[in-house]
Amino acid sequence: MDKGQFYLIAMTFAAITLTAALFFIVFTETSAVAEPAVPDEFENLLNAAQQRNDWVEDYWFNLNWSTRRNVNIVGGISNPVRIGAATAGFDCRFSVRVFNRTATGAFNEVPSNVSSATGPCDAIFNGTVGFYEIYWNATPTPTVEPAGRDLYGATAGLTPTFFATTELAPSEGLCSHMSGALAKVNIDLSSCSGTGRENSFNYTVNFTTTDFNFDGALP
Amino acid sequence: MNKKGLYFWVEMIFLVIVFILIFANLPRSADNFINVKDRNDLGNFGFSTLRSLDNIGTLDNATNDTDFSATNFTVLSSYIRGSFPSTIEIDIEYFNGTHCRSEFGSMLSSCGNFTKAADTIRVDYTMAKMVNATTMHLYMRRIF
Repeated sequence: MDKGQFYLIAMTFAAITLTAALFFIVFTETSAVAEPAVPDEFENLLNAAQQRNDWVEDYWFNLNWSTRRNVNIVGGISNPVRIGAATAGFDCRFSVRVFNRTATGAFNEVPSNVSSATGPCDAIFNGTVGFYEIYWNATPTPTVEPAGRDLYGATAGLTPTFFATTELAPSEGLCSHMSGALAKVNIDLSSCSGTGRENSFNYTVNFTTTDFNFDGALP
Repeated sequence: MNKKGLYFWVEMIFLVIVFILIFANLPRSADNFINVKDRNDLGNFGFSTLRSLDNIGTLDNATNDTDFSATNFTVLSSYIRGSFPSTIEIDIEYFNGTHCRSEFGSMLSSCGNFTKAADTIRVDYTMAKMVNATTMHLYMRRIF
């Protein structure tokens, strides 16, 4: 064997050693990246709950009111105006409330009366051309007559020209949706509930993956 | 010309094997790390972009609160696509809990049923500022 052959053999061993070292580096780096972390799906759930509560605060005056009528008065006004509100079986005297929206989207209550103590009844208030929201509920909220209302059974008021749609208070809306979405990526949302408060939902969830678990109320 | 001996060819074979091993391992080591990190970064970028659009009311304004099918999907799509650089290829899908809609609102028979490159990632963002929540599937891939 001459000197050149030893040189090649030495280089071969050096290369084998280097290759073996690199082989282990593969695992070292991969495991470093794969450190346990809060799953993206949980971040999404958390964000969705916060976004929904932000939206509810702007969208619905108070979740204690189950129903509202969105009214767009376009003309024919002779104050006070009179617009159909709570239907049969609903409380009118204590629960029917009328609001209009300010330019910033804030709720601005309009003093109002009702045509009878129980539904069906009309809301009677001084209005202008624009958008109004009339809320009511089966359970009187509050249980005392609202400020600015001192009569019912009034017959005064003319019906203006208006367009209206009636809708129910939004539900918590996330639990069933997220259960279905997470099941598709094999994540168990074993329990989820959203309890309505005045203008937000209090979400309680049990979220489990192989290396993450959250069981409690979302902030 | 000298005739090559047995040891010469054995060494040559060793060298070939060693070079194959080196080339098989070197790029793999670097790619694994960079790809995993890049996918994480890309996913985080996608999610935070959509959350920003939600926070400033863009998604809320572009969607229909009470009936998602009545959303102006063209406008919604342009807002989302306009928020990403041209070096990122994206596809959009909407999931209502049972069915998926395409980027432009048509109902699909199944979710994610289109040709995707192997390095495409999916980011889920749930749009909750509407009566019935909807999850957006954002498929993302870097292109150069």
